[in-house]
Amino acid sequence: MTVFPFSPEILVRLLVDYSEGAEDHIASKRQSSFLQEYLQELKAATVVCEPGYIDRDFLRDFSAYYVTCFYNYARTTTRLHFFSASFDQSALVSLLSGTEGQELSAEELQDHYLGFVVVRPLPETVIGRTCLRTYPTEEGRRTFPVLQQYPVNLFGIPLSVLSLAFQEQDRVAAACATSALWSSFQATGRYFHHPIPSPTEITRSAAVSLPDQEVPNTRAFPNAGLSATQMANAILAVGLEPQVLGASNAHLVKSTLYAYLKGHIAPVLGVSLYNHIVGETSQKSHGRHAVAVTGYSMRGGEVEPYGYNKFLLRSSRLTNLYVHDDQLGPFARMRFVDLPTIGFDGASSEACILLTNWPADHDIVGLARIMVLPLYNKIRIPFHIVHDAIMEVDALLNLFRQKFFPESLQLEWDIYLTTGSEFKTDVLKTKSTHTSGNAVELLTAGLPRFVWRASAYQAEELVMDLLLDATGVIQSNLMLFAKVSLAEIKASIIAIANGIAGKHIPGPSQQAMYIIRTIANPSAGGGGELHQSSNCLIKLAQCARRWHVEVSKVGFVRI
Amino acid sequence: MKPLNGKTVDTETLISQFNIWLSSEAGQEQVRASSSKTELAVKALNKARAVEAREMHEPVTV
Repeated sequence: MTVFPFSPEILVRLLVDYSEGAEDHIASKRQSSFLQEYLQELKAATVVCEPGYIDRDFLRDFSAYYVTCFYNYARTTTRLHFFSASFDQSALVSLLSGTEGQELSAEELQDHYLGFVVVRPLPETVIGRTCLRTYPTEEGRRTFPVLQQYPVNLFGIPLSVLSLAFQEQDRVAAACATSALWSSFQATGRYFHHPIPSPTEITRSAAVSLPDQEVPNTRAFPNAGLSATQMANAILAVGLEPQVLGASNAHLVKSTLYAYLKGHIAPVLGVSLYNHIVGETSQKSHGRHAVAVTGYSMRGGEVEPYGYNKFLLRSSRLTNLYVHDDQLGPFARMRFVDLPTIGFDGASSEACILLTNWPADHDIVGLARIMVLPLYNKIRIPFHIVHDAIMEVDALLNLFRQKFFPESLQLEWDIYLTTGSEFKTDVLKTKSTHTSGNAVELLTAGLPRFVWRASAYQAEELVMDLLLDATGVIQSNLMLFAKVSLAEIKASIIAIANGIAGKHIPGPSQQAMYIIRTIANPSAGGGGELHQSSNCLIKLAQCARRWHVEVSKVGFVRI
Repeated sequence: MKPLNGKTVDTETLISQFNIWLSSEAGQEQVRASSSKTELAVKALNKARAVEAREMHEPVTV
């Protein structure tokens, strides 16, 4: 064990000393530069080296590949621990030996613990499992919904760090797609309780479709990269359901990533990397890359309207994604940028372009291509079913608003995946304003494990809250609960339902129809217990495990 | 129920006003225009969501 004061130079020195890497190579690595800057931003002051560390993931890759190499690679790694407090080796030795008058305590170590980096004994790809704290959240501007608590034992001192594990590809057992999936599985493994495979195991399960006629030169090991089909195979192998979506539209990318991230799922984003040189009509391509999306930051202010009906979705406020980019490091920033798409192959005007932090003489941008979602099998209803239905309902509501209440604000929607338990916790927190007298009934009602929540706001005030079953059958009515707290919205929805029945409104999609009908005419949902609160009637359809708002009997409302 | 411009509103009257407008020619026209705009937006999103076979097989190699 050795203790050093942290500096970028010391970090490079340690990465060189504890790996098989050459100094000039390690010093010029993108990952090394990224970690130097990142740790400086976290205000790292001290680094503690733990040589001889047995890293489970490296050991599994070692036994699957490196052990059979002619060169004698070591099977143990070195773990570097980072702290934001300054202390020296004697202070740590004193703490470990329990001598009197210690300068350092275990509590202090935990308070200042920033996380660790495992250094692999390899020639180039030396950054192994890395768990570091995130950037500060800056009062909610940055959000990282997929973090896990990682317990660490430092020479007997129990520590922990809230992070999501990262590692760079070793270009043998794993390419970038494997590393991205590995990071994504760190979140789903703990959340959905599946074993987390090592990079070698991911690559092996991904390669079940080899030989692939479309990419005949690909082999499993050494691995040069995975296709979306192969990523889907790897997801199936851990018992999850893969969902692969196109990503050629910025609204689609922002809304989908946000919706699933809030449900604690770290999607894998596939991009094509290009140089961005202003004025060039053909930008140089660097090939395809995959990253695990681990967080986002949002700006305040106006929401960006989407489509001709100007649908307002909160996720349009996303400014940055934070990704585990194995070519950079953990929580690397990718900024949504509005650039002309000339020069990027096959990019439409609505394409989603993200500016990377890759160090280069010019900007390097990622043109979003695909999103790969590792989903628990019970999350059966995809985001787009709810999004499109809400967009339809919103367009109709907006017509009434423009005609009869032009002075009132357009609804801003927030649509995301959550769990029945998290929804209840949120209700418990906000029950005084949200559910009035129905809190107990709502909190004790049975809800599915996964639900879609669509909340509508006017000037940050919640005016409509809808809960839809994410585990249900796509052709059925998914509505579980609705709370509408504005008379004009309730009346509009009843009029819309009448309009649909009278064929004055062309038939909306099935789910939009269910949403409108359920709110307007709860009796359509079957029998149940009726609960009347001071401000609305809520029907608890216990037989169908569904909640409906009773609005047909509202009558006069004191407003 | 939240107040609407600080007045008492008869919801039934409101609904009946909405129904009258909805069945009028002007209302019908606006509904049709809005529906076709929504249809266009959904169509564009569905196109963006669809994954081409080429995308499924293109290896991610960087």
